[in-house]
Amino acid sequence: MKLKAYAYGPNAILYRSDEEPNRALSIGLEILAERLRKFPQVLEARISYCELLLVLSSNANHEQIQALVRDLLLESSAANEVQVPTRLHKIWVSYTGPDLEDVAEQPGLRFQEIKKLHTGQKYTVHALGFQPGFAFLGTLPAPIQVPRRSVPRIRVPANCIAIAADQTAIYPHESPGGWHIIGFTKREVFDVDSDSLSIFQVGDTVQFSDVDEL
Amino acid sequence: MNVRVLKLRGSCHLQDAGRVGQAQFGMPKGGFADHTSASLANLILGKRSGATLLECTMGGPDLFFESTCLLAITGADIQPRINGVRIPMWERIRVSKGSKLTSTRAEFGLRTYLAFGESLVASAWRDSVSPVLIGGDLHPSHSVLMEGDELRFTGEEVSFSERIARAYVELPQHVCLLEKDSKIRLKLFKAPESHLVEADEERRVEFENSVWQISPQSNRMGIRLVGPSLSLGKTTSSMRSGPVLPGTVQLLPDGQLIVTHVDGQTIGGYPRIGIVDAMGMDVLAQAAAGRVEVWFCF
Repeated sequence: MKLKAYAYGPNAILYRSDEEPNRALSIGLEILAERLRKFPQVLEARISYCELLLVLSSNANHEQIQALVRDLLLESSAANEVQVPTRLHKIWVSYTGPDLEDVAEQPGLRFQEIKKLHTGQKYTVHALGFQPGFAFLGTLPAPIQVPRRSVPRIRVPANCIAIAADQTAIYPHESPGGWHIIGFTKREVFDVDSDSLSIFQVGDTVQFSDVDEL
Repeated sequence: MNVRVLKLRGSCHLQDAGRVGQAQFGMPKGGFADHTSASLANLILGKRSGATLLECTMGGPDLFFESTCLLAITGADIQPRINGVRIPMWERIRVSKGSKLTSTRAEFGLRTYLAFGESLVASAWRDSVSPVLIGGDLHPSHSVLMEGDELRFTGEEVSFSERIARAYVELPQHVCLLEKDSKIRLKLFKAPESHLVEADEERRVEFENSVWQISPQSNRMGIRLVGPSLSLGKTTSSMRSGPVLPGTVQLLPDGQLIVTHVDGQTIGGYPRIGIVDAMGMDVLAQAAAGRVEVWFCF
């Protein structure tokens, strides 16, 4: 794993990999984050796709932390690749979202193909965040990659399945949001009693299935 | 001792220093919006800086004191009076049993902090009393105060530490915001997508000369800045989402800016063109819509 450091204000460092998002990278970054969380100067270590954010205490020595990250990266590349067992979540979806037609305006895409493409592969959990219970899943097949809506919705309903750029997700709560809504699920992904507040962990695998085919 | 909430003018929350180390699960840090003013309210009473207190936004409360109590009020001036007599802000006040505190809306500044000599009894959720709204449910449920609420205290007055109380010598710089309409120039630190506005000399000059107004849609989640609508914004709606933290400035597709605030999301989808430091965020936390103009410089 190769990471480059970017400045992010007086109390944070952002690390980024040039790789395209993939499960091995997400798991590698999460293991690195977990190790870094043990250091008292590291207040937060959290990942999103190809990025790792370190929020540091105000007395932290940034050079020291960067050296520490270099050492941990060397160690992990010397060790054998860690095998993390796959946790698969199956999510049933009713593909009746209000933005299906907008998405279908993509050149060369037919309406019926959207759910076929969306259910036709497995996704990796690349990040938890935005709001409690929200998991960022990738990578969406190229024909249904659409930019965010130019005007975000004030209210996106809970339990909807949405897409934006090369990402897809389940909105766990009603909230504002700029993604395209393509469907709905009855599955609750927010778990108020779990440490992570989500049924997902970074590195998990998710498969969507069409309820019409039940 | 008990204190009764008779009247509220804006919103009023119980707050503390917030939740550290939970952002990896999408949990915002929460806590005091203006950390400096809040900490000073506690320190004036000799308490630890992160102790639970009241954060009142856009106006103060009226309170009834059922027993004698120490009080310190900081932040936006709410013209506090005890039994009709004006009392100073930023000082340690002894309030006697049966007294009534009255206040007003804040003319300048947004947020006022009220700390008490005794420790407030408040239930925490995931290590903090800071209220967070998740899917329509408030956690913890009693941290947003309503008229008629009773504040309960442990009964032990925190031993007053002259040493701590003297540790602050002068009021923070941002107090000037609390006394008049202001133009503020904030230092913007580099963030992962700063190059979009700063690498090109012409764009940097355009950006640094831009004047931003605080939108009334700003809140503890985000401070929206309305300005000259930077043309760069349009190109940015297909970015992959990345980590943001309080202070992160994102450039929206319509060319406006949003500054992540204490209750804001942990991951954002727009270019992070800079980040405001903690002191700058304390200033922005007091910046009222329509009263303050903001400039940025790298």
